[in-house]
Amino acid sequence: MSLAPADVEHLVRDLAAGDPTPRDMRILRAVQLTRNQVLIEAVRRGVAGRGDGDGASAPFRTLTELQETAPEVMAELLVLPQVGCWAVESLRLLRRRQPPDLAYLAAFTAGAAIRAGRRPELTPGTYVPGLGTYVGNGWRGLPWLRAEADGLALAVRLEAGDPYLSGYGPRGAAEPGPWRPAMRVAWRMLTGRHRLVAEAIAAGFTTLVPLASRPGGKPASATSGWAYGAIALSPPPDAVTLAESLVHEIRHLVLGAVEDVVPLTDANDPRRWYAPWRSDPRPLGALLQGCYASMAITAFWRTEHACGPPELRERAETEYAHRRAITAEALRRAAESGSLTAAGETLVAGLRARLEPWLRERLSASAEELAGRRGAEHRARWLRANPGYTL
Amino acid sequence: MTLRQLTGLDEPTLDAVVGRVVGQAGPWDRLWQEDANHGAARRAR
Repeated sequence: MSLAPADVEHLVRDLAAGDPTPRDMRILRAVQLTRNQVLIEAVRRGVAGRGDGDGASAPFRTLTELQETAPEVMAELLVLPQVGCWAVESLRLLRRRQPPDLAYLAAFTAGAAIRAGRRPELTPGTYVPGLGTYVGNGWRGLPWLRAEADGLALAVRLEAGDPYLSGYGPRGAAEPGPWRPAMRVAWRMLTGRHRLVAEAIAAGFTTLVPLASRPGGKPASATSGWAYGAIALSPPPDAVTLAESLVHEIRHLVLGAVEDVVPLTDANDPRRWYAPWRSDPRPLGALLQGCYASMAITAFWRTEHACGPPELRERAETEYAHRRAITAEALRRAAESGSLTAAGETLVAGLRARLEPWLRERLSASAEELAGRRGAEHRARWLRANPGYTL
Repeated sequence: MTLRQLTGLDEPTLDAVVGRVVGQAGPWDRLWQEDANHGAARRAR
């Protein structure tokens, strides 16, 4: 699982300059597929070392055979987000000399066999990752959310029940109905005015994990570096917020995949940093993840301010003023940390070069004033919550 | 590489790759969550 240094350099420069290209997304998907396979092989060896008998190794053998007879099906399934989570959890258990959840792997393998045209035996009630639940005389399949606009299609599984996609927070219902209207509008907005990021989302977003609504109505969203393709979201208050969340979260998936190829920061740096979007001090790697995502949000609101509908202009201007300020501040901290790797330096320098002319764009005094106030209030709250730090 | 090819990978190489990717952390150590409402962070990397 490696890329040639020139390919890594090219990839990081692309990401610094703007949205990932379709080629970048193909490379990152291939990287994640290989990563998951490497993790599965490590689990296989760990299981074999436990001496649990032939039954324990059977699903691994079946997966290997299926990959040879149905490589396209397996390329789709092995990159599913829950595969990475299951494999990492299995390795953690093996390190503690505990058995991994091989029933889950057997169900995954059965699902792969079905997709490849075989008829494996399944017990009614078995949950098959990525497919749904076998109910004896058929399937209760996972619901899908689909949207299409301007010739670009989005198709994601709505995955509310997978045990290995449970770490994002309390989950919501597996009911696609409430998502569809907002998704349709958000997708039209993204394909119409944010085409490149829409293409990245279409390529990289495969699974929506619904989260329960939070008290107070603030929407929640999350991704995991182990779960490429999965975005966890609570029901959005409106389509614009959903679009913004997708723009934000696809960036975390992308940079997480990059981190699997090349380190961006010195992981041994123990220092913690102020991130203007968090209440807690963050390690440098997490600060950089936030910077990369925040840059995309900045670009989103910049475009909405310039080209969006009139009724959105005021909100867009305020958000743009706020985002460009806090992104610039956080990028400066990352740049001055002294703990970026060469790839990290390239990324941060590129992001700052892109942002720098935006900081000179003239916005209304009221938007600037509001952005300044929001920033100052956050810093004050953060300092109260984190005594001992200075900014 | 395919799963079958990976079975032939020597142990030190596999260990090095897995060790670099996984480290000592569990599956939710790379959870990216904005808490712009300034609540307590659930999990941090």
